[in-house]
Amino acid sequence: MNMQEFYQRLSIKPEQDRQRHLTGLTRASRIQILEATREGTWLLWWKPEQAKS
Amino acid sequence: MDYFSRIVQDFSVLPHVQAWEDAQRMFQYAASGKPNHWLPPNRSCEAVGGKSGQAVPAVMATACAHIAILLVDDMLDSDPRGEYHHIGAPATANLACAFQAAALQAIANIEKGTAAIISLNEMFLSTTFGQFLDVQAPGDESAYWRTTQIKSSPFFGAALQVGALAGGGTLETANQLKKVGCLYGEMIQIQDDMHDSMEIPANPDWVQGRSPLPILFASLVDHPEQKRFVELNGRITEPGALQEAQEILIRCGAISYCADRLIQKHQEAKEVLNKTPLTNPTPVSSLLEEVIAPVDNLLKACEL
Repeated sequence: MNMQEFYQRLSIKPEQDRQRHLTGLTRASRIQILEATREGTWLLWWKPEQAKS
Repeated sequence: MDYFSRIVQDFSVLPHVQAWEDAQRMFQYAASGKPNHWLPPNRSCEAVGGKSGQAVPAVMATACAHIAILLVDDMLDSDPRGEYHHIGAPATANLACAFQAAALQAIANIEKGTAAIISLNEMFLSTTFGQFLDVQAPGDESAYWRTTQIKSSPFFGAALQVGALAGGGTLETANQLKKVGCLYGEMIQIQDDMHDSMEIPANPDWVQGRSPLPILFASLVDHPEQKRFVELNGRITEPGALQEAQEILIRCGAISYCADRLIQKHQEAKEVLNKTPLTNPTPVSSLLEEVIAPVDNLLKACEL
């Protein structure tokens, strides 16, 4: 499934859990997305003060 | 085992770089941040039945490789946070060469050292070409996935592969774990793109006209706010433009598509892992669960 096909499916009334969740994500906040993807930043220097204990 | 302390110690006595102040300072600084992306070799080492101490050379090789890639990536991205602002681009390029060579040196003396060196070297070659493609900014979805698979996947694929080799795994098993790592790398890149596109102030991806997955989606998919998004993207540094563009990214389904692809890649990685004969698959399967969990939680939090 490519981007355009995904968009078309997203516009249809969602029935499966996965698609319902994905539709709900169109109302997420910027901060929620930043927090959920924090660990994914791999080409960025890790500052010592951000280190986990 | 505290891998970070151990590899700082090992790096401090590595031939040629032990007296190189900039290299030592940089390694110590990066290690003090305890980056998670240095540790996948430990997972694959344990998965093939190796002891945690056996993973040390592979963790150090991964750490050195990561630093080498970062040093160059910052210059390619003109990232204002890059080391090259402090010591200059020529010296930074030289240091990147040193870290790349140190990665190979770190792994050379394990029992399957030749296979590990080949793995890392192939990764470096692929990543540098991927960086080149990324700078050209992929213009469509197929180019995006190609670039991701060449630029981001190989690092994580090699990390799991060399960890398995260091732990005494067979070449076949190590190759299977490389496939898992490559899919994991794609997941990391998708998350990276999601994160970068939501940052304030505008990430270099916006400013330099790059096309991470969410921006590519909002620019190319036929949706009601496509024209407005493209217009905002062309003047992203003007007041209010970034916030409005980010709101469109979320509303139009670009972030949803990223999450959908993450779920798909996660499923594919689990299927490959399930077919891989391992002494203990849990360390690798938990790595996959850890990368998808925050996104799962986000999806549940946003349920209708």
